[in-house]
Amino acid sequence: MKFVLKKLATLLITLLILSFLAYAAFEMVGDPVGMILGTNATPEAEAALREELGLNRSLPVRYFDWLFHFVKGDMGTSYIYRISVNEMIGEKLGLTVILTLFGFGLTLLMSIPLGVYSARREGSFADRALTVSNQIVMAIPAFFVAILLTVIFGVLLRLFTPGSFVSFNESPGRFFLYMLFPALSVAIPRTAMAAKMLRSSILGEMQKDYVRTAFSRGHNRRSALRAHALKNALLPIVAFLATTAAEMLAGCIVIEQIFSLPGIGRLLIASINNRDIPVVEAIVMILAVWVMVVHFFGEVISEALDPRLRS
Amino acid sequence: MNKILEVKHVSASYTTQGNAFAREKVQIVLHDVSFDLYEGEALGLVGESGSGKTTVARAILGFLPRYEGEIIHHSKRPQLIFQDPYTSLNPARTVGWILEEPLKVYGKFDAPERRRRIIEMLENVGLSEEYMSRRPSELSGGQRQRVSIAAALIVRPRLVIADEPVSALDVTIQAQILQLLDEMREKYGLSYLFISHDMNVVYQLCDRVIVMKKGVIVEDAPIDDIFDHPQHPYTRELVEASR
Amino acid sequence: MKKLFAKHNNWFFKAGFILTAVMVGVVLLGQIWTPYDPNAMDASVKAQGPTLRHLLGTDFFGRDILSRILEGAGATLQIAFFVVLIGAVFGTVIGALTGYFGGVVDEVLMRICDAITAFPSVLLALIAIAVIGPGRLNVIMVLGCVFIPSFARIVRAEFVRIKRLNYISLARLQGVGDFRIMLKHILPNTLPTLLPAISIGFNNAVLAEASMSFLGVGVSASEVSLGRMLSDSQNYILRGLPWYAVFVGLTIALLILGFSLLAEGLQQRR
Repeated sequence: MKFVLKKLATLLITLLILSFLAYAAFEMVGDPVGMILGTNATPEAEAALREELGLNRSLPVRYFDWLFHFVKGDMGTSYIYRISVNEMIGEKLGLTVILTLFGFGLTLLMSIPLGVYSARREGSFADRALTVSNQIVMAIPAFFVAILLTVIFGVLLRLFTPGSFVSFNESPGRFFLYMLFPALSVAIPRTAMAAKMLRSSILGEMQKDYVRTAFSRGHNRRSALRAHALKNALLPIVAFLATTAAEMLAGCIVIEQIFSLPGIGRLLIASINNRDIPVVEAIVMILAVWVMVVHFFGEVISEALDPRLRS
Repeated sequence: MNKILEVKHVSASYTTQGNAFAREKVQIVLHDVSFDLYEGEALGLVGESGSGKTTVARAILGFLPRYEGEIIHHSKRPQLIFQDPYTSLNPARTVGWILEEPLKVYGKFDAPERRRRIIEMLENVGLSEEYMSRRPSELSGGQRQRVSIAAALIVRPRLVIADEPVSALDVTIQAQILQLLDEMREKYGLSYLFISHDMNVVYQLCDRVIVMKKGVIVEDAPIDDIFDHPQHPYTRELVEASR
Repeated sequence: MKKLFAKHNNWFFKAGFILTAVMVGVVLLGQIWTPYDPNAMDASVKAQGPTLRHLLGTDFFGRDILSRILEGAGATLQIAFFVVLIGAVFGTVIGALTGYFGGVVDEVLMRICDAITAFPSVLLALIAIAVIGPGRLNVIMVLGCVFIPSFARIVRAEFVRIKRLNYISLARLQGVGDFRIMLKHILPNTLPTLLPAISIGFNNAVLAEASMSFLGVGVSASEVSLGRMLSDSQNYILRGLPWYAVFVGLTIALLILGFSLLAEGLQQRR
């Protein structure tokens, strides 16, 4: 329990520091007033707008004001569109989350059987072939997988139309079909990595004494594998999965561009280009929170499962 | 005779950290250890693991940050020979480089002189000049220990501490290395502090023996006395075991 | 070099080395000579698939794709090179100092490194570019800084491990000074870990630059890079002309694959 609290405290402090740094960095970028009003604006109009947006206050004041609102759920107002950031982000966040979860789920679904199979047939032709292809697939960037999938399934096989996103409301079936490909793009390279790690982790466990004792007691290979080794083998993977979940978010940003998904990745890029600072700040905070929370859970779960702590 | 090392009333302990399951404990490693080492002498330090003998060595060499008592050196840079020949030599370097480093640091020799000394020392330990270009991974345990000895001696120390230098070697090689150490002692007028758990080994090389148990010196006597008339019961056990 | 081959005589290393050598060689060649001027437009051959005259086809403006890929790959590799240089050099210095000396500074720096490495590098770089603006130099600086912590971590771990080994204690006993120990005694022993890390660094740098330029927050619009071309190629896919995207993507993938195999090969023996 003390461990959890300590980690939680570290998490919050890091988030605070990051949010301040990010906020300060963005505020220094430039004057949004000029961007909004255009070059023909009069000094009075600029001053008035500055007052309205609260930009004439000092940095720490602005920061705390922003933070205060953020924590309450109010992420400010877009400079460009003049609507609340919450509105802008709302659905898009949901979509990105779905994509990330979908991708993560696919990774688990594909990597565990692969890893186990590889470990069981260690040394066989199938295992060696898988190892080599794993190594290759691991190196393929997600967006190339995306392009290949688009070309094969979109252009050639016409299973979906590249670039035209189908929302859930229009047609749930075709929504998931469309989402399958971006999710696969993110999942496939990660699956290769996860399968490789799982395989070596399992093989490592199988060497250990407690597994050998199980053998000697008459468990056959399969049940020994499943019962004990798998559980312990998964342990070091937890940390890796946490990193994967965090990275998947970054991957999603690029994938959203390729598949024209209206998620926060695309929104982030657009806002950066538009200099729509409040939106950028809000999204960056969300991403930071996501990454830190995922890591936090990863560490807590790791610690909880650690066999050294089992009394 | 001159003293080359004085150890006076040295005590050391460490405290284990307390946590939710146990209170913190104070572990005494050395208690009131005192002895002198004379010039030209080979002093054996015998005890089982946990007796504190390695801790004494660490204190003498300056590797022990906290201890009570005094340690007075009358020599300049005592050298050390480790037990494990496999971690005592830098795996990324050649034997020649390993032997040259201390000479380079000393600074007073030019390249040809350094080379001369390296070859001389290699010959002393029974290795030919061509070993200079070999790497530790290419050498056997016995060869590595010879290189370790060469490295220790190349700076012409007056005191050498040897921590179980032959324990990791085959019995046949042990005898060779011990003989080598003896020869070196004569040739360069060295003094040894020879740490071991094996009385037989100590018998072959040492003039005097200190026996330690649980951080305390239980007996300090010349080698023959130890074997013929062991005073302390623990010493008696050790001598019996070695017969 | 020969020693490397002797120590790592496995498939991954050989394949990785060959692939990397070929790719880098071709790209370097492309810096002095390309089949066509990458910017030359030839209206008569607009948007063609691979032909004998234009091995990888042409774009909407009639520019030869192969030549453009060569130029773009050159930019990408140049960026990757400097990024890894910055990351590895500064990371090694920081890692060596903190690993060897430890202390409060070590604790603090490592916390910071942990925080930074928790974030996907592309994300961090993206945000930084959002602040300082795009451009080749900016990308190099930003990515270089983002890469420093991971190198520092790796080098630090090695220094912490090695400084406890017997041969280092012996060196200190012989009077070797701290900095000499760090540079000449410990550092050479960190190479088996450092070299694969550098190779992986190239891997990630190419990926990061391509991703960032693809998203429009990498090199500026007027500069050529593989990522930018990939982004342009999206339009072509929508019109049923996939080869542009495939070739650019394939180039990126092969570059990355080469480094990745090399790294894996360096980590294995045989």
